Amino acid sequence: MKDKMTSMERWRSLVDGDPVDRVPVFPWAIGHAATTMGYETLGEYYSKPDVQLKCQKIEKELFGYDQPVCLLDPGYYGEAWGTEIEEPYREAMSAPSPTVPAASNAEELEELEVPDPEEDMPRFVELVGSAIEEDLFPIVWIQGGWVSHTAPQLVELEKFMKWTRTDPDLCEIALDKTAEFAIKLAEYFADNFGTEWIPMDATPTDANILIRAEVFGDIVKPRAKKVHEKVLDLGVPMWYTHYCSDHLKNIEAGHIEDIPLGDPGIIHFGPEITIGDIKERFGKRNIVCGNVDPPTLQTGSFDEVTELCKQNIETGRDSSNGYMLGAGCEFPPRAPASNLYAMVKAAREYGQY
Amino acid sequence: MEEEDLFGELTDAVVAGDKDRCRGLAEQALDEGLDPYKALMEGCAEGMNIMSDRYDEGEAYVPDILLSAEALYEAMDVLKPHIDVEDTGVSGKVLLGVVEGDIHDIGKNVLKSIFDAAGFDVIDLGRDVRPEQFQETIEKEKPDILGLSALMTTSMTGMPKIIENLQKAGLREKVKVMVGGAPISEDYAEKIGADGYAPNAPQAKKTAEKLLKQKKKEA
Ligand code: B12
Repeated sequence: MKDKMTSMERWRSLVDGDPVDRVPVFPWAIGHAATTMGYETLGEYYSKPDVQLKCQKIEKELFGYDQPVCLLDPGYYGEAWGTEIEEPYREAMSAPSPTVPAASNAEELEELEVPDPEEDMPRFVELVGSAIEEDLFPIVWIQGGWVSHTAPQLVELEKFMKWTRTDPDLCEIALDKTAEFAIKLAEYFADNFGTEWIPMDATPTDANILIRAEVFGDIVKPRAKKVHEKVLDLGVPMWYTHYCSDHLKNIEAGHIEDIPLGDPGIIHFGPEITIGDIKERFGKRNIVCGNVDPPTLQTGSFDEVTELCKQNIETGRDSSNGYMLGAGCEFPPRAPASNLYAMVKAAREYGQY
Repeated sequence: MEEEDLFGELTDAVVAGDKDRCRGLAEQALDEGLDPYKALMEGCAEGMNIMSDRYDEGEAYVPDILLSAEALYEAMDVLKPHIDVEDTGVSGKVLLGVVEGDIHDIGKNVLKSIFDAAGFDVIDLGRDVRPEQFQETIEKEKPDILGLSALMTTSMTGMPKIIENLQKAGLREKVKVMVGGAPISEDYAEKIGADGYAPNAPQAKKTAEKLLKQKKKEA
């Protein structure tokens, strides 16, 4: 089936609430773009802004998916704070990895100063600047105020986890710092490059596989909410939030609904919750994205992936604010190219409106 | 204090994640001439078992298990020097590690504390461990069991490589291999030629005990 809209037309229409020709595909392919381009490791991709941008543009064109370029800080949101980051120059690595955290105790944490985007994140600024200049309407990963991107980006995760019980005030200090950082970063981009971009955050270490919904509600939600509100106030179109892993208890406690995504905002859960359930709970407020499970994308056959996509599309396609076919988390960087194509092909075949 | 009461208090202190109380109670157990191995197994380990069951049932969370493990180690610190290895009954050496490219180590750390509590001799290589590191340690330390953890579809593909390497080096028969982590299944474990799999820490302990028995029988 031939597409009637270009990827960019489809993406913009979805975001604007206008009709689209078929279900858009947002595989959240980031590292995969580097393997498509023949890089053996993800090192160059993550550390060099021009490589990150080029790989994504070409992969998008090659596969015909609708996800705009999706930009991550080459310093992985930790370097700017003084955390040591290992760039993924080893073949086995699938993302950069924080090694030595900026703060290992209360004193170090209290002394940390919120980084300055221009001075401390020049590569990210360059990356976001060029994508907006090229009118790519990018997704820009802005994150703070959540556990994710506070631990392990500032403080080691296990330490942070223990603090939630022993020293919650330290958790709050750390969360306040990253919240301020996220707001500052978004303000910088809005002031310098305008608001034609969509902020994104992803929240694996806020999941209920790690922390209680009560803890999330008490210490995380107020900060996440503040960051979302302040960034929306800048005039960006909406938020895209990926609730990574199991957030069922956070959902049941009503916390997720309290964190604004804008109008309509894009909500994306992992495969722990079905598209049917997401549609029912959030479809009236948000664009729903998801959620073919990553293990199948990595090891399943073309036909298996196609079947899963078909099921997802059939359930999600009539969601009130729109639906996009996506993976349950990042599209695995070394999954077969045919499984990425399977997503696009399935949307063309089963997702026509 | 009666032995039973003191062990019960140790269990409670581990469950509560109260490391000061754990240390105090362990010292008290020694002062009162109680068997340190029994204090560890019937007191502390029981607490850790309760916690990992609770985690599995969604009643306890990661901060809780981490604090309980910390409390357990505090008591172990006191008790272990007084434990005669011969008394322990379990004489198994377990080598643990998260495969290369994977930094998800919380599950592995939980496993380690359960194994430690169960009286295994645990060597922990940490996370993001290269295949050669596993092999060198196996040659040097001769563990009975190798426990490999992977949390990502991208990193789990490192497991069969490690097993293959062991085969090539003639070490495969010398060590039982068990695998685990969220994306791993019984089927996958079988497919890559591992000897055991478990979906969580309590079952991992059982699997390890089973493999150990098998190994002894074979020897
Ligand atoms: C916490 C977390 C993180 C933390 C890890 C911190 C740390 N020090 O561990 C941080 C934020 C750093 C992180 C980073 C990333 N993560 Co992550 N993360 C998680 C999360 C939410 C929870 C894992 C966890 O700690 N669980 C709690 C513990 C207690 O459980 P467990 O690990 O499963 O272990 C138990 C059992 O599995 C078993 N077990 C474990 N090991 C073994 C071994 C043996 C021998 C046996 C018998 C049993 C056994 O016993 C344990 C105790 O009961 C999972 C979600 C999930 N569903 O697992 C994602 C998840 C694993 N992450 C994922 C991804 C993609 C990433 C990143 C690539 C994200 C990115 N693009 O940056 C990076 C990569 C990091 C890297 N190179 O490894 C994906 C993996 C998808 C895939 N491809 O398969 C997951 C599944 C999220 C998702 N829904 O898609 N992550």
